[in-house]
Amino acid sequence: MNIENVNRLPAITWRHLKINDTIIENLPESIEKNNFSTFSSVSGITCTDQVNTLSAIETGMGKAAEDYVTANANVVNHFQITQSTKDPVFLSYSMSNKLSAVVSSQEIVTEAGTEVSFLFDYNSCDDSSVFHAGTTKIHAKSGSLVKLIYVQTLNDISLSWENLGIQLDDDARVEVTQILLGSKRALSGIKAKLAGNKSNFKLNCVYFGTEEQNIDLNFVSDHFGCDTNTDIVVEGALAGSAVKTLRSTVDFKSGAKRSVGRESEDVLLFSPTVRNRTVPLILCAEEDVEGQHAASVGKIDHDKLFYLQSRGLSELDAKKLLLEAKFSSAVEQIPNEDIQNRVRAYLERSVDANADNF
Amino acid sequence: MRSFEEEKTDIAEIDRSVYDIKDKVDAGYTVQNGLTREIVEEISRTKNDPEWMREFRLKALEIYNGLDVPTWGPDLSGLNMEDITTYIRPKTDMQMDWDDVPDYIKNTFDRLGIPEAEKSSLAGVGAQYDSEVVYHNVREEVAAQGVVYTDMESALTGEYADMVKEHFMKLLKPGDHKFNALHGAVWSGGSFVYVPPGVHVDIPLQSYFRLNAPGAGQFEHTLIIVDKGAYLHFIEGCSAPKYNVANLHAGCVELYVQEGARLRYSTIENWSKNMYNLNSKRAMVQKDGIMEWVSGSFGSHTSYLYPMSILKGENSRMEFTGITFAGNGQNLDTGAKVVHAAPNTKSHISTKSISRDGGVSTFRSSVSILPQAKGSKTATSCESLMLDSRSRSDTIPVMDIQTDDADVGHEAKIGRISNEAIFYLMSRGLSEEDAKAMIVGGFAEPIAKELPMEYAVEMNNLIHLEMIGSIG
Amino acid sequence: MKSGLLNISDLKVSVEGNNILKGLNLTINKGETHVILGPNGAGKSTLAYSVLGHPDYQVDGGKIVFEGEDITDESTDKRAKKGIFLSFQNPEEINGITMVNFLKTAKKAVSDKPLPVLKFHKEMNQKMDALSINPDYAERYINVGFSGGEKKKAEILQMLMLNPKLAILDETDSGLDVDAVKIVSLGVKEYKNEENALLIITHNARILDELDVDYVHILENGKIVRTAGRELVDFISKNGFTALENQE
Repeated sequence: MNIENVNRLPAITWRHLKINDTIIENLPESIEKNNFSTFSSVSGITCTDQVNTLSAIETGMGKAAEDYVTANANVVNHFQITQSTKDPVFLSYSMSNKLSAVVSSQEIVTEAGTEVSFLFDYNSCDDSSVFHAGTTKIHAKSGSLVKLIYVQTLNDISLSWENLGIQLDDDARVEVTQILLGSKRALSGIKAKLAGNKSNFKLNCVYFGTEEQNIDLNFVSDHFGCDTNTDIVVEGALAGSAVKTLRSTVDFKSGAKRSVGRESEDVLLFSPTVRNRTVPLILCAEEDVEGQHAASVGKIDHDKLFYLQSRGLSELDAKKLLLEAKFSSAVEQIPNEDIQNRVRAYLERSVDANADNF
Repeated sequence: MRSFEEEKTDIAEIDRSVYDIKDKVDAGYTVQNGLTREIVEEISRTKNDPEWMREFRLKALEIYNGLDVPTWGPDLSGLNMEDITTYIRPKTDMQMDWDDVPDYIKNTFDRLGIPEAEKSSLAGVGAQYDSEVVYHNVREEVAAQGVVYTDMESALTGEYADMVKEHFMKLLKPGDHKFNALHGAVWSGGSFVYVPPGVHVDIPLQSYFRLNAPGAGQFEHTLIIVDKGAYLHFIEGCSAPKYNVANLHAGCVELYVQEGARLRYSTIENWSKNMYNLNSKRAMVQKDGIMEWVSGSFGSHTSYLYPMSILKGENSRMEFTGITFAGNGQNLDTGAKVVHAAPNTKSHISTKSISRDGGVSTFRSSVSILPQAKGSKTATSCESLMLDSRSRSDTIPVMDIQTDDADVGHEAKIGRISNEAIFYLMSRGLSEEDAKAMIVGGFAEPIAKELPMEYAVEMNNLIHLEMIGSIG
Repeated sequence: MKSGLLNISDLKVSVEGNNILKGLNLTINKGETHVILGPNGAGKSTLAYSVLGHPDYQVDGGKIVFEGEDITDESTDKRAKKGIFLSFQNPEEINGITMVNFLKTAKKAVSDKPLPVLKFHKEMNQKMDALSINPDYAERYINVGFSGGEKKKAEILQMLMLNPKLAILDETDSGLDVDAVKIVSLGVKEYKNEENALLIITHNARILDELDVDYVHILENGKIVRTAGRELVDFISKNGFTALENQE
């Protein structure tokens, strides 16, 4: 089956550009139920398998993708954070022909003033085609902090998406880090509703698209509250015949006084057959705001290359170094050394495999 | 929509050459809903079209009937598509007295310092003669250089008929969208310019004069060919506020910039605030050619305006400088498109927009770099100013890069006038409204700099007028 | 008997809810030069902004009287028209407006009559020359891309061209090298006469070397805590504010 109207732009543009939204094709009609046990509650975190409290929160990929996950979910978690926890909540799925589909429907609610971090990790342990589709809704109540790190290193014949919907109350902060390295088709959608005053949304998304990969992203930050802040940083590299589409929107609603929204994108291109599409929207109905977007797309900066080469690195090594540097700050966010190392190794392999292009 | 329906009947622009046929028109003609073959054939006959043009019009009509009104942009539901003839046939039997012009428009003319004679011509009385003389003077001066500057109707049958046929609606095709199809079917008036190889036209050609001349209308067609190594600056003159009964403008501008040639195309658009301005403009730029757009949008109720440049030849270049000022009741969707289709092509888009008093301004762009356009560079910078929170300002740019060997930059900023800047100017004795007007004028300065003096002055006046209207 | 130019009585001012000025009194007469010294955060710039009526500076009590007229609630431009000038500590950069156009507009606004254009240009060129400002700067946008020193000189140029009755110099000497301070103080000297007055806000005394100072006020914690003659400047230059406190 197919689902349409995925990752749709909040304000559409010329249809002939075919960029207003995307379609996900050849989805499995049904998903095998499994016997994942629910997370056991720990001190400060209650976990149940009842998800319906946050249905009003909209997601970045949209209703159609949500409905598919709701109908087919085989992982269902509702996390209620009542007390700050130091250790990250760690959900890791090593996928293979034995575990070929994870469809997850999750909710995270942080009570006022609490802090929590989540690490979602999806990786392949063999070369079979696997499928991950996830909806995660977050309600960050006043003064709370949610850190969410999503690492996706599935193999290059898989399909995966993570679909986030976030609501932030007064003084709440949500920081999302996404590391998208694998899957033939990788999608991500995030919609953050900065409802509360002084709420703050930060997103750092990095990707490396190689071969026939198709990456489709839709990030939307809706500013409702006063003094709200958005910072979206997307960095990536494309090699082979990879295609990437980024839609990124900062939307200042009337009344969102003194809010600031920044989006920036930096893309390195390594092959003549890549395609990079970007639509950075700024929508504004409030006078007293500051919105900014900056994008830079192209080959590696020659001055930087020259600098490294003047210190004795070969051109290839210099390029590799600069490429890996792009990912390092995001990788450092991963609160787990093993996964950090696995991501670094994955990156290194990808870089080596594409070095002919450099 | 009610008030705008009423305004529509107040006054008409004079446009007789085509439509003085009203005596011959049978009663059935006027009650026809929609655009019919009969109407199009009638237009074709009156204009003495060559046969191919008649066929072209009828083909365009077919396409028109098969296309829908665009829905991706500003709302067009206020356009009366069921009775499209309302827009095609201005009511020439209407009162054309200056006295009938609504006061607010007269005041605008007064404040702009438009001379009395010109006012009358705008109301469609008398001053045609003056405009024609000026126009002919300009024409003779450039004719001495071998430049052809004529109205489209004569061009169709004159010495350059073949050239016109070869280029007419080849860049902008009736199938592009409903309003291009409409244009293809009912176009009338406009200019044809041909600049021979190597000729540098020193004075800007201004279509301003032509707009007051017979044959010009709201479906005018402009076709400009600047041959190898030649240079031309063409100014499209919607410069004087124009009050028009048929509040749909669907003109087409096709520009051919040949090898090593350079064309600068400037517009200050200040249509009356009940106009639906659905104008299409496109340039094809050959090797080493340069296309420069300077575009100011101040008027209209609704605008869809995105001049497009196709960088067809190696090393060709385009620069777009634009400003949009959307005030009360206006929804101005403007921007630019560029396709890099050859190696080492360059484009630069720089725009400013201002929204105030409930106005909506949208910057929309599309930059495509095709796989063969190696070594291309493109930079976009757009800055928006919000003057109050009843207004809107949106930025919707698309970049599609299909080669790694490209250098792409994009910057967008949105904000408001800083209170500190206002205080600084007020501390030097400027009133709050003057301080704001001055800062907005400064914001628009990069565009004013690109305009000929008299247009820059007019633009500043317009900004000042708009600003004074906005405060208090 | 000197006539009163500026009378500030019991002025209380807050910014975003913080009380900065807490009952300040100050009288300046024609022909006088006053200096306000004080540590950072004492309220010196607040005083300057309040006299010009910055909208973020809320007057909670007291009043400001200029030439016998209560201007506490006047708009900033009206105050400028009455003849008050502020040389900003951090002059605004404003794109798209050339210095010369700005000055012409301002001159027209404060003098309220048509501008003799030729005379204006001649005067401006002459004053720019005297202040060692590169003539190209007339055509540059207001303060955009100016160095710190160039901005301050441009402020003094504006003061000379607008010729106010009271000029307030807010830290005009800060961040300037010795030569620039000299040029600026020459400009200030040229401005000063028996019919106008100067209020110099500073925390260093260099700018005062070339000037005749009548009164020195120490502003601390939102109030003027001490007033004396020029000798106070010399004392503080030598010994610092702390010495002053110790002296008490």
